[in-house]
Amino acid sequence: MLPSILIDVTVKSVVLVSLAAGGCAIARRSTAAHRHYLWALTLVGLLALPLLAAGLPWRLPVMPAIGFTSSRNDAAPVVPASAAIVAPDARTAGAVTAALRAPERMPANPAAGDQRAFAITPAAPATARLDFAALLGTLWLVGIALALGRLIIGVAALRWMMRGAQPISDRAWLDLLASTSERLDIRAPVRLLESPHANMPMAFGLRRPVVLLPLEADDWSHELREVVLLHELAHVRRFDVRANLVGQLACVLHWFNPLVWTAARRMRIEAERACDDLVLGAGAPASAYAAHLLEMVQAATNLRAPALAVPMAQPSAFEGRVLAILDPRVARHGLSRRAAVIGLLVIAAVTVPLAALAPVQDTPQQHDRIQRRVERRTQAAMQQAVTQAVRARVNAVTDVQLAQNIQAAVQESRVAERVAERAAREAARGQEDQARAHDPRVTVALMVALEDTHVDVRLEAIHALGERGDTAAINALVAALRRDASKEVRKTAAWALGQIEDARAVPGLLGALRDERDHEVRNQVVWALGQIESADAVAGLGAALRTEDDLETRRMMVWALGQIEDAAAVPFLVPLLRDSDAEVREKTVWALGQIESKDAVEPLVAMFASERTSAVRAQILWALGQLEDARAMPALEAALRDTSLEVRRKAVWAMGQIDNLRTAPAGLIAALHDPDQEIRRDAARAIGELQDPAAVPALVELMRDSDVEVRRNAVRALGEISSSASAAALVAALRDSDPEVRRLAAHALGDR
Amino acid sequence: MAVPPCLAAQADRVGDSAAALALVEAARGANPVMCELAARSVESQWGWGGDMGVRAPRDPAVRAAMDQTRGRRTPPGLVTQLAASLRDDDACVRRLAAPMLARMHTASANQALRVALQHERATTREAAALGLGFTGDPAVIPALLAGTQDAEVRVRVACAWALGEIEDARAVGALVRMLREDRDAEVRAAAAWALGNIEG
Repeated sequence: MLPSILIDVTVKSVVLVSLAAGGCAIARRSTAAHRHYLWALTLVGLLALPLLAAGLPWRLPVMPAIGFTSSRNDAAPVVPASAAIVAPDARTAGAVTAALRAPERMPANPAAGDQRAFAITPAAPATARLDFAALLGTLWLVGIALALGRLIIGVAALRWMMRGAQPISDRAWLDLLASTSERLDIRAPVRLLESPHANMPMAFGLRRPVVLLPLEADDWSHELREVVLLHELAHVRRFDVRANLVGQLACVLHWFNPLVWTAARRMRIEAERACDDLVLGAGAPASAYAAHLLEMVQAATNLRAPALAVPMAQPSAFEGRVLAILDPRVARHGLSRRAAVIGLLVIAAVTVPLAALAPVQDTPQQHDRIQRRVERRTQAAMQQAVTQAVRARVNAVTDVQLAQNIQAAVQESRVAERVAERAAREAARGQEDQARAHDPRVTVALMVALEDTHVDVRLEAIHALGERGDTAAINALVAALRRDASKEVRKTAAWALGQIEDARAVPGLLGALRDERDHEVRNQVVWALGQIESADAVAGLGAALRTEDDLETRRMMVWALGQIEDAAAVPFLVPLLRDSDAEVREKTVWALGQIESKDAVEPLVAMFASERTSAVRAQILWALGQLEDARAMPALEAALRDTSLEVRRKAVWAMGQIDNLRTAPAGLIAALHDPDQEIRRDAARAIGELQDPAAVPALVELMRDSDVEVRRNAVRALGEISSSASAAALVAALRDSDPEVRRLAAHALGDR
Repeated sequence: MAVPPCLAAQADRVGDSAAALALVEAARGANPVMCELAARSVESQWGWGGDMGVRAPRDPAVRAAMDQTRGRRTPPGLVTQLAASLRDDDACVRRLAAPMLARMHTASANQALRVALQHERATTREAAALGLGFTGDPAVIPALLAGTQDAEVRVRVACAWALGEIEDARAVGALVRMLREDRDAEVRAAAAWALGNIEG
């Protein structure tokens, strides 16, 4: 990702500049030419860093991970709603490891149990991170564009100066040029120009060197002319223009990094000093040269040299420069070939490995690996089931209407999904069981121990049987549940049966539900029935629900019926929609949404009108969305005017779920103008599924929405509706600022 | 003298033999609560070389390699001194020495625990059995199996717990026999727990 590269490159560039600064501090007594070379190489390295980091085939995993390496798995584990289970404490000397196994699949908020309905919610943090990353990347690119613009303006300014420039044909100047060129050992021809726009002598030209002089240069004394030419030709000789270009490009790339700007500035200052050294080395007297420089600076205090050109004097670094010129102890020799090669090798030796350093990713933990394996297995099983369902469907197609066919396939795939989920769970459990084949000696010994005279022994034996998940122990555990004198033992037996998750335990558990008087044990029995998820338990649970007076147990029963997901539970659940306890009402609504029986539609609609708690109202809309029944429409339309934002959002979402609607309801079209962007997104999505041409004008309007997701959904919806107005809107969307909107529009147009 | 838990934590961080022996000495005469706190600290995190608290791997070759490297790091004489502490008159000294030896994960430390399981004093045998449970090393199972016949209830309970902790199927037969035949309920409960742990 771009931002992680940015951070990576920034950290590395700081390291590189720091090393160069250190090197310069060490080379304090060396010549300016050496320091200039060091800075120039550093800037080359800075330019190369991002390219190398992107292009190197190998990585040295050294650096700790910084910033944006995203951690997967943000989904919080489902929190058990009530501490219903007390696993027997191992009372042996050091048995600190005895695990307390809580009901794992008890949803804290029943709605969270259905991932299909709220697929958007868990993805939210990832989107936020992505948006921030995209913003940072964009910001960087904008900065580059601005810095590049500045560079281009500089080049344009140079061109402008060139346009008014005349070649100098004065004999005295040309002779001087020839002699100074020779003194500095310059072979290439240098053009000498005079420009009315230049107010200071400067050198430029990447390939063909040019020295530009101001018009007043004609009035200069011979001595001044000589010094100026020597200085500018020194720049030519030293290829300072090219070094400057490298510096400027590095600044463009690292525009946000002040250290890089400082490095480029240091390089320019050292270039000037190196030129001064060359001038002095060519025989100019130091004091006279310093005096001329002073004149230059005074003449151009408000001078801003165009980028890429090398002006002769800049006020900022002037004082140090004059002092350096006048200091007789300063070494002034140039750059030797050996020093140049060594410098090049050193900078390559630093930059390449630096670029190769890669952040160390967190090594995946064992549980992550297991998690992924389970995920893979689930995915594979689900895909297989869906494929089979579709294949069966294809085989069955004869002359049935296409619409019905598609609808049935969708329904079937949803059922198949659920079946596959269960199959995958059972497969995972089966494999676990296979891995630990049950030793019959142990089972028998533990079952015998259920008759032990000491409670502690019986508790430990039941706990062990539950941990082992051995179905051979079911009858013995049921016997303990029904007959044991200790309520702790009975409760633990119910827990163990829930752990084993086998439907053969259901009759025994229902019997205990009839006869057991202790609330805690009853609660645990109901939990076990919810774990087992067998439809055989529905009638018994429903009957017990009518007479249950304990609130906790009633809630647990509703939860268990929702877990079982059997339509036979609906008649038992519907009366609870008028329960005095809000949590019972909410859980009942959740359970009805889980069961997805059409019988629940009218009771839920009736309940919506009178429900006071907005959280429960939102839950009702979620359940209605699950049921996908058009009879819910009046309630959903009323809900679009609800005072609670959450309720309005759920209403729009639920409308998108409803089957068999031919036209978009007026409320849904109006929701396209809702101030809440999430509502606008869902409304556009829902309308796309309805394919109602009446919604086209509103959708076209939505194409000007500030929210990009809204526009994407709108363009998707327009793609579904074939009319001339929608086609025109799609053509217009080809010019959208968002590439995804443009892609979707092109795709939709291609389908026509 | 009481052992503040922070001392145990410090000794853990220092992780050298001097700190280990200092901690054992400081534990002399500690009240049972403080002693238990210190012992838990040792059981959960005490280690040399930063790799303690990890179960010994089942693969004998890997274990041998690990034992070698650990053996080099183990300060000389420490095993002898801790083995002596196992036979000490003070209950807390014995309590701390056993998991320290176990967490060293060396052959000589395990051998010292096995020898202590034969000691005449029941409390020493109990401490040794608990220590053997902390080694996580299936090689100590024969010694523990012999310990399940011990005359003392507390030693048999400790052996059952240790066998459950090591989670090796070879212990199942002995545990089943304990669960069915042992006279003492505490031992039977421990055996049931261990069976659940091994196969759960």
